[in-house]
Amino acid sequence: MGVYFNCDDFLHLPYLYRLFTGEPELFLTNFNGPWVGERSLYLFFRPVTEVSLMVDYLFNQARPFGYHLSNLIWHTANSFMLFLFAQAFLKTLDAGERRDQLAMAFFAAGIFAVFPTQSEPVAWILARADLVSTFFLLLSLYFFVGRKNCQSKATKRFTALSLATFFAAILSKESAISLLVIIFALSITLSKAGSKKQKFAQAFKDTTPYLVAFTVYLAWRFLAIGKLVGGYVGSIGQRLYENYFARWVSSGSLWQLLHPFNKAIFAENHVLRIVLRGLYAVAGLQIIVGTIIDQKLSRRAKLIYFALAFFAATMLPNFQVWGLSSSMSGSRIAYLPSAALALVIVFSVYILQPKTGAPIGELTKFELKKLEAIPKLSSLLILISLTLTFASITQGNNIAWLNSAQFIRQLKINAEKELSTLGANQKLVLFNLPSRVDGAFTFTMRPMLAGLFTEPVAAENLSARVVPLDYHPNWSIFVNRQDFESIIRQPKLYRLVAYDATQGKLVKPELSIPEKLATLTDRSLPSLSMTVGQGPQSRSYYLKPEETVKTINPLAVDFLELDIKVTKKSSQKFPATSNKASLFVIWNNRPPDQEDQTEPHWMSVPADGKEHKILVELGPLKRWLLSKNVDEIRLDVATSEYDWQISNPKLIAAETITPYLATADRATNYGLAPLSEDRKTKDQNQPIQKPGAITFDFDASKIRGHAIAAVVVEVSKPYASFEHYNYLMRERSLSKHALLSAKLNGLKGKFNIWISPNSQASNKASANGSDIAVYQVHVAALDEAGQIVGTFSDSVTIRSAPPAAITGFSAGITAVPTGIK
Amino acid sequence: MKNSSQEIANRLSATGRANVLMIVMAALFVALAFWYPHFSVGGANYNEPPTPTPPPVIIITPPQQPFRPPIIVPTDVTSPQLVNGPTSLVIDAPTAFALNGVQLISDSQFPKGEAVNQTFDWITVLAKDGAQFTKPNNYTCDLKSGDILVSVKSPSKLALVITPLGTIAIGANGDVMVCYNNGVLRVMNFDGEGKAIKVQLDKGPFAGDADPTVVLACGYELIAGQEKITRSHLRPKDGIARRYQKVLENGHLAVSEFSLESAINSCDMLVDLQQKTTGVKERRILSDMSKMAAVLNYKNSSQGYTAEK
Repeated sequence: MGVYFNCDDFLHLPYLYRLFTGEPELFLTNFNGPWVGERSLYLFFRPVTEVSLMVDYLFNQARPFGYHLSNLIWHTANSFMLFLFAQAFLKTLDAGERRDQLAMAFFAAGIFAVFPTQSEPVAWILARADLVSTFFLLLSLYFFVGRKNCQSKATKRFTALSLATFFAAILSKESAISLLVIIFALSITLSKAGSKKQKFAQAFKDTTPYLVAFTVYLAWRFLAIGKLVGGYVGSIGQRLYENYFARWVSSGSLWQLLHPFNKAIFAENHVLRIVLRGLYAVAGLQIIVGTIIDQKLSRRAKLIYFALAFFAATMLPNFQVWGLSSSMSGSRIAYLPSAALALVIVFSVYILQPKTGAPIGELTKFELKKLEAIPKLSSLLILISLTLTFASITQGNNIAWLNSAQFIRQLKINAEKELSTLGANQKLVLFNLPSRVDGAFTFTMRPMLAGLFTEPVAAENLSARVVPLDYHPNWSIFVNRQDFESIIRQPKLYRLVAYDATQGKLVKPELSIPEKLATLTDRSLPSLSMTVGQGPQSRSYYLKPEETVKTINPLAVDFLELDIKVTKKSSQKFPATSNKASLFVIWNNRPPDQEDQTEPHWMSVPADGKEHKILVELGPLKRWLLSKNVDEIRLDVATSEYDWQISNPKLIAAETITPYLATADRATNYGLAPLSEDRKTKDQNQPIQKPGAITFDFDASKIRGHAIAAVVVEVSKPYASFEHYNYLMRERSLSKHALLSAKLNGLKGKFNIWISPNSQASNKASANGSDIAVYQVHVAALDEAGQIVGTFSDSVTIRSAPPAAITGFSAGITAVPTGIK
Repeated sequence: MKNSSQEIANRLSATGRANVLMIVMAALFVALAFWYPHFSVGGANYNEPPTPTPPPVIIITPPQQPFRPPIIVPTDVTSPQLVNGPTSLVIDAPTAFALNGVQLISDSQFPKGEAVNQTFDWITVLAKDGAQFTKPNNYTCDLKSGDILVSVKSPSKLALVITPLGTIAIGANGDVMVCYNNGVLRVMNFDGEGKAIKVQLDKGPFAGDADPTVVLACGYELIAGQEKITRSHLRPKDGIARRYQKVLENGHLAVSEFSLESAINSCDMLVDLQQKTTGVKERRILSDMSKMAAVLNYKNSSQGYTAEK
C-alpha cells in the first residue's frame, strides 16, 4: 500500500485530471478510440478498466493509497471468484467428496492470491486491466458452470449473465479472448455426452454465443482504434513480432514463472529458493504416490487436462507481449495464467480417494480409515507449505515496488528542489533515469515523465522547465551526443542533473568538457596498450592508455576500433556454433550500476575467419559519458568455441566516421524539447497546422575512407527508434525499417523533411491531433557503390505529422511539393 | 500382499492415459526441483534482446615486486639522492604511501542525509561498552563518545555517523570503526572499497569554508583531533599494526595505514564478534573483513607493520 504511481499511471492521471476539470467529453475517448487516446506506445481498447480508474480518481485524485486499495480489493475479489468457480466446477464434475472440493477450491484460491507473480499486477495501478478483466472472466466462467447445473428455466439468465461478464472482461483487457477456448474446454470437460463427436458438438454450441459477442467486440474495437490486432506499436511492437523465441524460450521466462524470484531481491542461494525446490520435489513424489493409490485417478486427470487447457488458453493471447525478466518485470501478464497454474498445482497434488491396499493384519475399520487419511494429509501439508512459501516470496518481490516508489518520490522532491533554484531562463535537464528499479517500472517514455511534473501529481505545471534526455522516443541506453553537447556547453540555459544509483538521487555530474566540437577533429587521444589474460574458457584483454596522459576522457572518445579475427573451433559441432561471436566491453570507473545498464556492453562479431575492423560504439552510451577518469577498458571473450585474435586497439573521435546532423531550428528538436511538449491540453484537440517542413543541417564532409558520392537520409516509422533493431545508435547499414529515405547530392548543407498534416490517410486522426507522432532521422555518407562509409549519424528525434518527402534545401521552396520522392 | 499388488497393477492398467499424464506432471515437478537450466541473463523491457551470458573475467594480477631501496654510493655524483638532497623515494615513502589512503573531494560529493533511498535491514551498529550514541533515525548514528562499529551491507546503501568533528558517510558494503575519545576522532575503514567511505570534517578546528571532505580507502585510518595530533594518537597501544603516517591540516589531521589482519585479531569489538556463534549479519561482517584482509595483504603486502603493545 506504500507504493506510489509508476510508469503508465502517469499517462492516465493527467487524462483523469482533464476529464474531471472541465473536459467531460473525454469520457467517450475510451469508447471510440484507443485507451486514453494513447497511440505512441500501444494501441489498446480498455474502456471498462478506465471507468474503474475514473471511480478511483473521483475519490482519491492524486493520492495513490486509494488506487492501491482498489487494486487490493479487486485482487481479493478475484481470489474469491476463483474459489467460487473451482468449487462449482468440482461439484459439477462430482470430483471427490464435498470437503475435498472445498479444500481444493480453497487452496487454488490461496495459491493464486499469494502467487509471487502478483506483485506487479497488484502493486502497479495500471495493471488494473488484468485485475478487472480476470474478475469478469472468472465471473463469466462461474455463470457458465452455473448454467450447467441449473434448471432449464434459469439457463437463459445464466447464459446472458455469462455473456455480459465476458463482454465486460474483454472490454477491460484484450487477453480475455482466452475465454473462448476456456469455455470450449470447460464444455468438453463437463459434458456427459457419450461420444467424442457429441462432446465436441456440444462444445461448439456452447461457445457460439461467445464467438458472436467477440465478433461484435472486434468490430467495435476496429472502428475505435483502426486496427484489427493493435498491441504495442512502433519499433517496440515490431521487435516483439521478431523475437518470440528469445522471449518465450531462450530467456527462460517460462521457467521464471515457476521460480518467481526477483533476482534483485533474492540472492542466488537464498533459502527460499532451496525451500521451493524442495517442495517441488516433494510434490513430484506425492504425484507418483497419488498415481499408485488414488482410486479416482481418471477423474483427477480430467481436472488436470482442463487446468492445463485453461493455462494454455490464457497464455496464448499474450504471444506478442510475453516476457518475464529475472527481476519479474512483465509478471502482470501472468496474472490470469497464474489462476490456471494454481488449479494445475492443486489438482496434481491433491489425492481424491486414497487406498492403502489390503488390510494389514488385524486393523480395525477406524484404523484403516486413519491410514487412508495419511496421503490426503500429506497433500494438504504440501499445499499449505507451497502457499506459505509463495507468500514469503511475494513479500520479497513487493520490496521492488516499494523501492521503485521511493525512487519516484525522491526524484520528484529532488527535481522540484532543483527547479526552485533555477535561473529565469534555465531548464532542468534530467539524465540517466532508470526505466526500472529492481524490476519495477518507473518511466519508459517521455509522456510518463511529463505526468510527474503536471497536474494532478504536481501542484502546478512544471513541465515547461524540465527537459528529459533519456527518451527518443522510448528509454534507451544511448543519448544523442549533439543534444548532450548542447546541454553541457550551455550551463546558463540548462542545468544537467544525472541520477546516481548509489546515492539514490539526482547529482550534478562531474564532466571534463573537451574543446568545442568544431575543433575536435584533431583531438589527441591516447594510444592503448594491450595485456591479455587467458583462462580455461575465456580471455580478457586489458587496454590501457600508453602515453603520459594516464586517463581517458570519455567525452573526447566516440569509438574503440579493433582488428578482430574470429574463427570457429569446430564446424561439426551439434548444435552448430553460431556464426556470430559475442564481444563484451566494460571499463573501470564507470558510474554505479543501474538495472538497465548492469550487463557489460556487448556486440556480435562475425566468426568467419576473416579479419574485420570493428567499431565498438562508446560515445553515445550514457554510462560511458558519465564515467570519469577511465584508465582501463576490458574486452571479454569466450574461447571455448571460438579462436579470437584482437589487435590494434585504437580510440577514435566521431568526426571522421560519423556525420553531423541537427535540426536547424532548435525548437523542432524533440530531443531537447521540454516535457510540456508531451502535455495534452484542450487546445491540442484542434487540428494542428504545423509548418510545411523541418530543416536539418548535416555535414559528412569530414568522413574518411572512400570517396563520398552522396548522403542518404532515413526517417523512421512512427514511434520507432533505429537503435532498437541492432542495438546500435550509429548504424552501419541501411535500415529495412525506414519510412522514408532519400539521397542528397553534396556532403554538407541542409535538407527539408516535408510533413503532411492533412494527408488523406490521416484526415480523421488529424482532426484530434492524433496523427502527430515521433520520428527519428539520421544520415550517412555513401560511396559510389552505394555502400555506407563510416556510420550513420546519431538519430535526431522530431515530433510532427507524418513526413511525406525529403528534399535538398532550396531557399525558393515555400510550399509542400507534390510527387517528390 | 500379493492381492494388493495385483489390485494396483489392475488399476494402473485401467487408467493408462491418466498414468502417463501423472508421470509427466511428476517429472515436471521433479525437474523444477533439480534442474538448473542456463538461460540468458536479464531479459528486460519488451524490445530488448536477451544479453548473452558474459564469459568469466580473467583477472591479471601483476607479480608482487618487493620494495628495494635504491643503493646510494657516496661517490656517485650523478645519484639524484645526492644531487637533489633528501627527496628520494626512501625518505618520502612513508608519507607518500599514507596519502594513498585519502582523496580530497568536493563537499557536493558528500551524501546528504535527508535523501536516503534504501531499505534499512542491513545497517548494523555495534558499540563498545561505555559508548554514548543515539540513533535519530534508521540510518544515522549520533556519536557523543566511545567506540562503535558500523556496517552497511547491500541492499542498504548509506549510513551516516555524526561526530563532534564532522560526519562520516558509509556506503554499501562498508564496515567502519568510529572512535571519539578525549577530543580525538579515529575512523578506520575495514571494508569499504572505492568511494564507499567519505568523511566530512566541518566542526571544531575544521569549521569554516575550507573544511576538508575526503574519501578514505580501505585499510587506512583517519585521525582528527580538537588539539594537535601527537605520536600517541598516531600509534595508540591497541595492538593494531600500522605503517606509514602523514600529518595534515596543521597537525589536526593524520592518515595512517593499518593492517586489517591485525585489527581482526586485536580490536576488542571484532574479537567479540568472532566469539559469537549466531547472527547472519555478524558472520557476513567478519567474512567480508577476512576476505578484504587477504586482498589487502596481497595487494599492498604485509611487510613493515608494527604494533604498539
